[in-house]
Amino acid sequence: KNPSCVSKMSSSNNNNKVAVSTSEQQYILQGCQDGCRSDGRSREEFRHYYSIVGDFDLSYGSARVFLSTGESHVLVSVKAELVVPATSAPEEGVVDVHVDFMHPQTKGGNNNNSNNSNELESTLLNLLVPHLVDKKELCIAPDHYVWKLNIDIFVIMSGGGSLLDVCSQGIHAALKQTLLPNISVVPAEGGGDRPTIQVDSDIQAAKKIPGVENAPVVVTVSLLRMGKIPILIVDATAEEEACAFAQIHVVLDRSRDAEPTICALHKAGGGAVPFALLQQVTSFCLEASGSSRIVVSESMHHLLQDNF
Amino acid sequence: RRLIEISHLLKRALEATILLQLYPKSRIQVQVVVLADDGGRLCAAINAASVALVDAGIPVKDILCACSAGYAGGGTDTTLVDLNRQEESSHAGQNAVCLPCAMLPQRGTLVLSQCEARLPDFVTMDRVLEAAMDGCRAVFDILQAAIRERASVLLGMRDGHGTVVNSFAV
Repeated sequence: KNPSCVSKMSSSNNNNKVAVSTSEQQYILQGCQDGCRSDGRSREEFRHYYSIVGDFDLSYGSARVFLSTGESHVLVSVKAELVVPATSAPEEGVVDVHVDFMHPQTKGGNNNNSNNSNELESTLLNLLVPHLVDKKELCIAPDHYVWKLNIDIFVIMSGGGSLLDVCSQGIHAALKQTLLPNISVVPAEGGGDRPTIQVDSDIQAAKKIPGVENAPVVVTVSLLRMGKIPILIVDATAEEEACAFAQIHVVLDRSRDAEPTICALHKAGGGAVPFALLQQVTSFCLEASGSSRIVVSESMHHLLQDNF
Repeated sequence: RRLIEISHLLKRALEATILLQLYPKSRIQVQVVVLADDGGRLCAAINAASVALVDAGIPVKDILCACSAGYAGGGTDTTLVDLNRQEESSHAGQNAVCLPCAMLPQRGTLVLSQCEARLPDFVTMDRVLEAAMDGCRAVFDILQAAIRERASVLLGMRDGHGTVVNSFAV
């Protein structure tokens, strides 16, 4: 392994990157340029992720997203509670994200992990969470009761790369299936101005979060450079990410009927990206997600139920 | 702090069942991740760990099983088995009677037994302990059935039957 090639792409989160030798790097770059990556995919093709939805009975909604090889495996659980809204936004609910990594067995891994989870958490919080759900829909009684959605992500394996994408897929799958109890508000009577709420414990009356089918997903476009020519790929593996000089996280809204639309953009990584390239990135992203939709199959649940 | 205590108890319970003399100068590391908790955390951890050991192929004296039992005093005088979180939690200032117990079911020996609350007398304690041990035996049936099923699937794979679907052997 050649340590100098890793330091060339040094940035603050160098520790996360897989170490690649110069020959591996050449191989990957050449493959991406020719449109045939190391696993045979084209530049805009996604991997086939599997999901199991609704596993956890204690959560309001849950999903597991993983690759068939088990290189990436993420669990997402959504729990909801009633809270008093913030005074600055009395008619809006709250959505909170927390990320946990499975403890690695190696002794040196501890420092990296807290950095990793904080970074992932804050990126998700700032990038994806504001667009996930219309917070006004989470309001029950303005000034008194709103829903707070606690999204907990547990990363079991992150070796497959594109962790942000996988987490956002998991959040989307879990939210789509989350059922919130039906709540009816009885206006306050007499003296107090605090209304009482009645929670309907009948599960048939529970409903999904309104508007959650439009919850956006993060698609990460990795930028690699061969000589002076930039190459754009989507859904990068860990090795491809290590060769990338920058990554753009695009928050994409894939509503059923409409064209996919971009909600937010975030540039990660240390490399400089010229502005014209950014436009290329966004059009590439729209193209990629339009043509090859991210396939997440939900059939595993029944398969496992029968056999275990 | 609670977690440290639970880890310690888990360690001691597993030490009682693993044939450690076959592994001199080595360390067996068991990692338990709690995904959801509705009470009975320690017992679930012990059960999961003991099945995981069997799945790993580590020789054990017996499949360690754990179950908790409790006692609802007041007027009712009933023993409860497998307490959930509400039943385990202390209320009205007193600790709830919760006795997680682990045993080696085929040998009938008790490995772990812990209770931090007051019980009225020895007779009640015997009853609660007996209920916990019955619970352990019931858990043993389930664990054993799961292990046997898994073993038959794996043996079938060796002979060429069965398929691997997305890293789960079916």
